[in-house]
Amino acid sequence: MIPILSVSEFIEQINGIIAGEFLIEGEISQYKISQGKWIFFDLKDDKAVVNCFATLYNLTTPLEDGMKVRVLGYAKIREQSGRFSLTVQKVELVGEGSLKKAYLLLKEKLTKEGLFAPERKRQISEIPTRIGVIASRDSAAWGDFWRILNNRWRGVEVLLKHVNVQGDLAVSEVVEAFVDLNNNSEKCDVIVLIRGGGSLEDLAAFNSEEVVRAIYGSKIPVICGVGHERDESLADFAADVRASTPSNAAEIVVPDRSEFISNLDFTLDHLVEKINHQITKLKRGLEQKWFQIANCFETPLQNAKRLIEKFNDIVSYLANNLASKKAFVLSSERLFKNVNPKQVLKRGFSIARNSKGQIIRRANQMDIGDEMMVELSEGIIWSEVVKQGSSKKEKHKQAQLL
Amino acid sequence: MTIDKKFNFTKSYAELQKVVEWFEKDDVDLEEGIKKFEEGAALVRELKDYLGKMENKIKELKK
Repeated sequence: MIPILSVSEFIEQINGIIAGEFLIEGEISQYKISQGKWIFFDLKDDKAVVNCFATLYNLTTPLEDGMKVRVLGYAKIREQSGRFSLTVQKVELVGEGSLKKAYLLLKEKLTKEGLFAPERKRQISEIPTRIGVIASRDSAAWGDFWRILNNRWRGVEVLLKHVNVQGDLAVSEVVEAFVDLNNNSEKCDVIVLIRGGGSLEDLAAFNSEEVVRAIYGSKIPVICGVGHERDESLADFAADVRASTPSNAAEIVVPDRSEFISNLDFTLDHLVEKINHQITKLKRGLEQKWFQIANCFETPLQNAKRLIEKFNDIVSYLANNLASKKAFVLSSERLFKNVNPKQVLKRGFSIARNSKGQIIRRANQMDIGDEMMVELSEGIIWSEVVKQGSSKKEKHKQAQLL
Repeated sequence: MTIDKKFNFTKSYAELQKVVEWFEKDDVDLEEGIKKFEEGAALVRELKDYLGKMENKIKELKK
């Protein structure tokens, strides 16, 4: 006989029968988040559909309608609604399409949150002394990194934190490695996260929100070198510096030794040049000072020279003047000798004067009977005017007489 | 030549950069400049020696 059950008992029994985990593959549709806490979606194939339920806390993988997923969960009939649904514990994306979509969704979300903002990128120290490396110790990525590092630089200490770079443990180990390196007593100057290339599925850990947040939260600057040149991961975007490959990460993290050394030599040359330049400058300064001093003397010297010339001019002028004065005196003396009236008297001339002693120059100055005095070269004769004549004829006659 | 274990590459390099910076001034005192140059040359020698002698070390960080 079939036992009679209450609804609650019935549902309890059914739930008991279907208890256990199921892994179901299907496509997501009607995806929605309710009250910022609950996730509802349908999982379907071409013939059937099942309602799914999850908490946002439990399911961090970004989902969207049309994604192909593999859902791990348990089935249950809800007591209050009588609805049959699958409570989802884990969702795994299936196929490149879904992965790509999830990748883009997460990228968009984290971009909005500012995790990839260029302004929060930090400067990597030019020459690190201690480098933290998160990698698989058996990977080619680590091998390449170590080889290039040794080729380029010396004297650096590498703190290697070995992790699984793919598989279930990858995300938690990488996150833990960031925590450990940040808390380590021997502080690293930089953390390098590396792994070789692979499919989107292989790189899943480096596209996970947890790893991205671990990079974002690292107090030590991070260089990320994941995959090949063309691969990009969300870890790359969150890192302070993105390296295209693990080898490239080594190239970024340390300078090239030979280049560094030649730069050192160049630096010294530059300093020598600076000193030489300064010497030239000082020399030029001295020359200029000397020139200035010489200039100070130039003007007074010129003035003195001019004074001397002037003095010479005056002396020669005076000398010339004296000679001409001497000549003048000599000729004057001769002239005076010639014009001395006494000398003239000696030649036979005489001077006639009236009674007042005035020299008589014209005959009409005198009247008949006037006394006059005639001075000769030797002695004086007193005489009286007996006749007067002033005509030219008479003068001539007189001259003839004389 | 052995490298002093206390030699700090980063510090010495920073000191060298300071010397170079000092020379960037317009007017450098010649006497002090020669002293600074000698200081810089010694630093360069030490840095080069360090790079010539040292090896890179790996230490695995375990929990």
